[in-house]
Amino acid sequence: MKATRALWASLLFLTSCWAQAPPPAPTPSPTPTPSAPQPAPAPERKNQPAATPAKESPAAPAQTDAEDMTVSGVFHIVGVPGLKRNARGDLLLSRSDLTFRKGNKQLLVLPFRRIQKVELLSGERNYEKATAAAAAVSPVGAFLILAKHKVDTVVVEYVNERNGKMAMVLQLPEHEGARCQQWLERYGVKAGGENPQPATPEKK
Amino acid sequence: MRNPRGPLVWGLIAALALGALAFAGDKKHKNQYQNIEVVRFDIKEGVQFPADYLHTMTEELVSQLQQTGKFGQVLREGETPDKADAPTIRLTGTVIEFHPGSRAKRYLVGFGSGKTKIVAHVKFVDKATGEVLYEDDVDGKVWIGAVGGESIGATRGLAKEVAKVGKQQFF
Repeated sequence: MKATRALWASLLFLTSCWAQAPPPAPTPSPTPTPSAPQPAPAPERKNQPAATPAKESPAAPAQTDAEDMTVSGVFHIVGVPGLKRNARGDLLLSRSDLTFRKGNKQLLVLPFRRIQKVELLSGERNYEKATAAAAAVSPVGAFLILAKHKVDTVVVEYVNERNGKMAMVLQLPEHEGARCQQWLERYGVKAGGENPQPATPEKK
Repeated sequence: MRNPRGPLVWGLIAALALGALAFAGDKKHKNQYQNIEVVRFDIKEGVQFPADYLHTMTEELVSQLQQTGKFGQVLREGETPDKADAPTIRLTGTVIEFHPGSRAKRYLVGFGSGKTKIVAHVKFVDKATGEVLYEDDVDGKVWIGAVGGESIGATRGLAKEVAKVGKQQFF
């Protein structure tokens, strides 16, 4: 009887996890409308470098007035000094620099003139904490590891104050990577990659 | 009657002599270098190694070499050392093998299933002369971890191995 209850509880929990919303939406800001000649961003991202610069795209009128752009729910992989992998923070893009912020603390401020290249890749993340919690309730919960959500992996290559080559790897909510890249391209940052491939290839 | 210990003793002396010679050779580079410069690795043709893994691995290499506490400065490509004439090692490498693995398999099946593996051929080169001081294949693996362990953690494993080799060879 207890086992049956536990099983029902875990199934209900799994169902709620499947139904849960994707990562929180970023702060609303004007979104550029891609022009007709531009390729579709989703298939482009998987096997190709990011879309060509959207210089010809008809920018929405409000876009030119936007001072900055904020993306919340960003996962840090590597590159921000002193910050652990998978720490969450916000990415702020102004007209001149890129800032990674955790809470009220600005951990890295990167002027655009130091950014050499921004590469956009597709990626996936597991529901690690939810899986661990579900597995603690019932062994069936471990199968939640099979569930994944798509993210945009952004690789920012830049030079530090000593002229050393560095890179920052972040995972943004899906579709936010393309918006960030378009913002950066508008202010002169080079986009794309030389060896495009999925960020986390599936084992064949 | 022939003494059986004779050949044994000579063999032992020969082995000790060879060991001493090898040790002396290894010692040639010990404590000679102050700094190390980490250069982004290449990828062997045909190896599908993701860009985020490559950059993560470079950052992990810098971090792990710094953590050894042996090198005066761990430099990134393009950085100039505080002392221009300080003997510096240049660390380069090529990723020669990559198995992406599967976190789900590691977690649900285990016993080595779904292992992520990165193998790189690394070279420690004298930056001034170009002499290859040491080269070898090193690897980083993820076969177990919290909820299967993150696949990208293999980059840290490889970096730790490289740092260990660097410490053994040069200090």
